[in-house]
Amino acid sequence: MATVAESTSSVSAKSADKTWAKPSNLENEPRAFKAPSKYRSSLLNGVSKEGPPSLSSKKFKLRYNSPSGLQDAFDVSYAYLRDKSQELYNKIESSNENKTQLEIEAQINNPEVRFNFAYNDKLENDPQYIDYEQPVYRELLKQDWESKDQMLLMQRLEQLHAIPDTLPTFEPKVPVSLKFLNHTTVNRWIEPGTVLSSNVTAYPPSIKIQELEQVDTKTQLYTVLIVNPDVADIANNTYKTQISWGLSNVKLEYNDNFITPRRLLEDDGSINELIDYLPPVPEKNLPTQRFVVWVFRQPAPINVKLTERDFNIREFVKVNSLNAVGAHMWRSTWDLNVSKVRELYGLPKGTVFHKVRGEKRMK
Amino acid sequence: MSFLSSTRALGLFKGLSLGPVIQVRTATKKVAGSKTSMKDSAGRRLGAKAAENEPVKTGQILMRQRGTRFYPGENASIGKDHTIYATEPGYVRFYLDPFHPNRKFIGVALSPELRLPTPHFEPRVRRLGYVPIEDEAKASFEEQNLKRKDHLLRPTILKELQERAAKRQAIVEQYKEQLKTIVPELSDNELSIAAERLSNVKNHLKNGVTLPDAQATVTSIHLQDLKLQNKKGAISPEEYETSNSNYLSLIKKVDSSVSFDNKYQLTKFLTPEARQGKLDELEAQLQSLTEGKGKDSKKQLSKVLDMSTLITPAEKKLLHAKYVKPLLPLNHGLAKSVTKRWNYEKKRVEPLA
Repeated sequence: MATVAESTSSVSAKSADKTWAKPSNLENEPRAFKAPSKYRSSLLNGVSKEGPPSLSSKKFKLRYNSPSGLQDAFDVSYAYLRDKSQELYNKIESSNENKTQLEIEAQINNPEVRFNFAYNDKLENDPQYIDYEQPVYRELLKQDWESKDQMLLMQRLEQLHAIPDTLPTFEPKVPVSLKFLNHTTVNRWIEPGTVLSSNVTAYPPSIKIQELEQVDTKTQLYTVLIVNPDVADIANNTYKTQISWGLSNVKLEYNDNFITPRRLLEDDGSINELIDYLPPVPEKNLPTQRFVVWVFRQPAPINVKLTERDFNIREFVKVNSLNAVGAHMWRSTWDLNVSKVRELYGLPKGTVFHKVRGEKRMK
Repeated sequence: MSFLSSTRALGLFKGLSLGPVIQVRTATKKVAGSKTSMKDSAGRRLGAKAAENEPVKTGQILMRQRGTRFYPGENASIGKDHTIYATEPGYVRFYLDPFHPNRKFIGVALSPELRLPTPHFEPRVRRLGYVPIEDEAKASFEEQNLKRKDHLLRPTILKELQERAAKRQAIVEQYKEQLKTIVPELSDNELSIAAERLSNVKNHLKNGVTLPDAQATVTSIHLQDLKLQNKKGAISPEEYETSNSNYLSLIKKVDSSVSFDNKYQLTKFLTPEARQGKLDELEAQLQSLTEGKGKDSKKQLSKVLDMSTLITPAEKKLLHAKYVKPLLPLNHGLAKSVTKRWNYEKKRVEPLA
C-alpha cells in the first residue's frame, strides 16, 4: 500500500481534472479503484447526453433527455465530496490520530469505491476491484457482514448450542466461509448450520477466513479447529467432544486467505496439522451431530501434534492463549453413505442404537 | 296528601304540571337464587407432586397448578393445564434463575450432586440415553431399516448412481483413447490413473474452478486416499511411498502434455503463447471473412466460431459481438443529409446530436 504522503501530493497535482484523492501514486493508478470503463466515466463525469450507461437500446439513447441542472448538481456534489476527502487526507498528514480510521473516512464516500463494492463479488473478490488490503473495503465488508451474515452465524451458534457446548461465549470479528471443494455436486458456500451428507464431508473442507481488522499479515498466525461435541460416550451415558481436524500456524493475506487443498499441497511446511481429518461418521439413530469450526488468532506458533481424538477445546484454548475471532458450523446425520466413508478411512463398523431412548440415569 | 289536596297548596304550585306520579316499590324480600353459589367443588389436588432431590422418571409429574406459579426449568416441560413434568430421569430441583428474577422454576438435575441452574457459560449436561443394540442380526436389521420416503426413493437413486457411474466410465475410456495418441509412452496402469484424474479434473472445471485449483484438489484427494490405504494396511509403506512418488511424476508429465479444449476433449498441451497465436490466427480468419457481404458471410462467420475448439464461451461471445453482429455507431446507416430527427418526448423535430 502506498504511503499517505504520496497520495496527497499526487492529488493536488491532478486536482484540476476529475480524479479522486487516492491513497497511491498516480503513475500506476491503483487498480483497486477502477470500475468498468463504461460506468467509470459516468461515475466520474456524470451522465452523458446519451443517457446513463445502463441504457443499451439505441432508440432510448436517442430519446433520452437529461433533467435540467443535473450535471451542475453532479459537479457540485462531486467537488464537495472530493474536498471533504482532501481535508481528511491533510488531517492524516498533520495529526497523529488513528490513521486507518481517517483513511476509511476519506474514501468511504468515493463513488467509485462504493460502485466497486456494490457490483463485484465480495467473497471471491477480484483485487482489481475489491482490494481488502485497503481499509475502506474492509470497512464496507464489515458493514455488509454485520447487516446479515454475522447475525445469522450467531443465531445458528446460539440456537444449536455451539456456545456454550464448545466455547463459553464468542464475539465474532472475522467472517469465515466454508466450502467442500472435493465435492462437485454441492458446489456452494455452506450456510452455518446446514445438514450435510456424509458423502460431501468425506474430505476436509476449504475454509476462507477474511481478516477485517488491521493486523500484521506477515506475522499474525491463525489456528483452525473443527470439533464435534456430540460423540456418544456410552460408558458414562453422555456425550463427549472430539476433534475432527486441526490446523495451526496458518498465515492469511487480506486478499489470499482461502485454505484450499492447493494451498495445503503447495505449503512449505509452515502450516502445522494438529491432527489429520476425521470425517463425520454419525451412528444410526443418534441425534444430528454438530461440527463447529473455530478460528483463533494465536499469539505464538503452536507446533504440537495431537495424538488423541478426545479433546478439551476450552483447555486447549486456555493453554495456548488463543483468541476466538471466527466460527462456522455444519451438521451431519446418519445416511447410507456413512458405511462407505467408514470403509474409506478404515474405521470400524458404526454402532447401531435403539430408536427409543432408555431410562438409565446418568451417574 | 292532605297538604297537596288543600287549595292553598294548589295555588302555590299553579303553573307547574306534575303529570302522573309513578310510584316505585323496591323488593325488600329475597325470593330465590342463592342455591348454586352455595356450592363448592371438590379440591383439585393441586400442588407439588415431587419433593426437592426426589428421584424421578421421564414423564413423571412434578407440579399441578392453576396458571404458571412455577415454570419448567432444565429437563422439565409444561402441559396444557400448566402441569410440570420431567423430560429426563434425574433429581428434582426447585430453583431461581437470575436471568428470570420473577420466576420460580422446577427442573431435573441429571445427577444427584448437580445444582440448577447450570452456570451460564458452562457446557450443558446431557444424558445420552440411547442404548446400543447388542444382537448383531437385530442391529443390521435396524441399520437397513429406512424411513418410508427413503425406502421409496432408494431404487431411483441407485439407478441414477449406476447411470452416472456408467457415464463416468465412458468418459474415462474416451480419455484413455485420446491419451494414447497424445502421450503414447504411458503404461496401461498409468493410462487408467491419468484418465481417471483427467475426468475428475473435468468435473471441477465444469463447476467453474480454475485449472490449477481443479488439478490440486484432485491430486490432494488421490494422495489422501493413498495415505488412508496405507494407514488401514491395504498397502505397505513401501508401496505407499512408490505409488505416491509415481503419481506425482505421472501428473507432472500428464499436466504438461495435455490440455482441455472447449468441449472438454483432450488436446496437446498449449502454452499460453501458443494459444494466443492460435487465437490471433482465428481472428485473422474472421477478419478476412467479414470482407464478404451478405447473409452467407455471416453464416460462415458463425460456423467458424461454432467449429472452433479453442475459444471459451466468453471469448466466443466477444468475437460474435465483434464480427458477426457488430455494434454499430448511432448514426450508422443514416444518409449524410439526415441532420434532424423526431424527438419523441418533446414531440418536435430536433437536430441530431
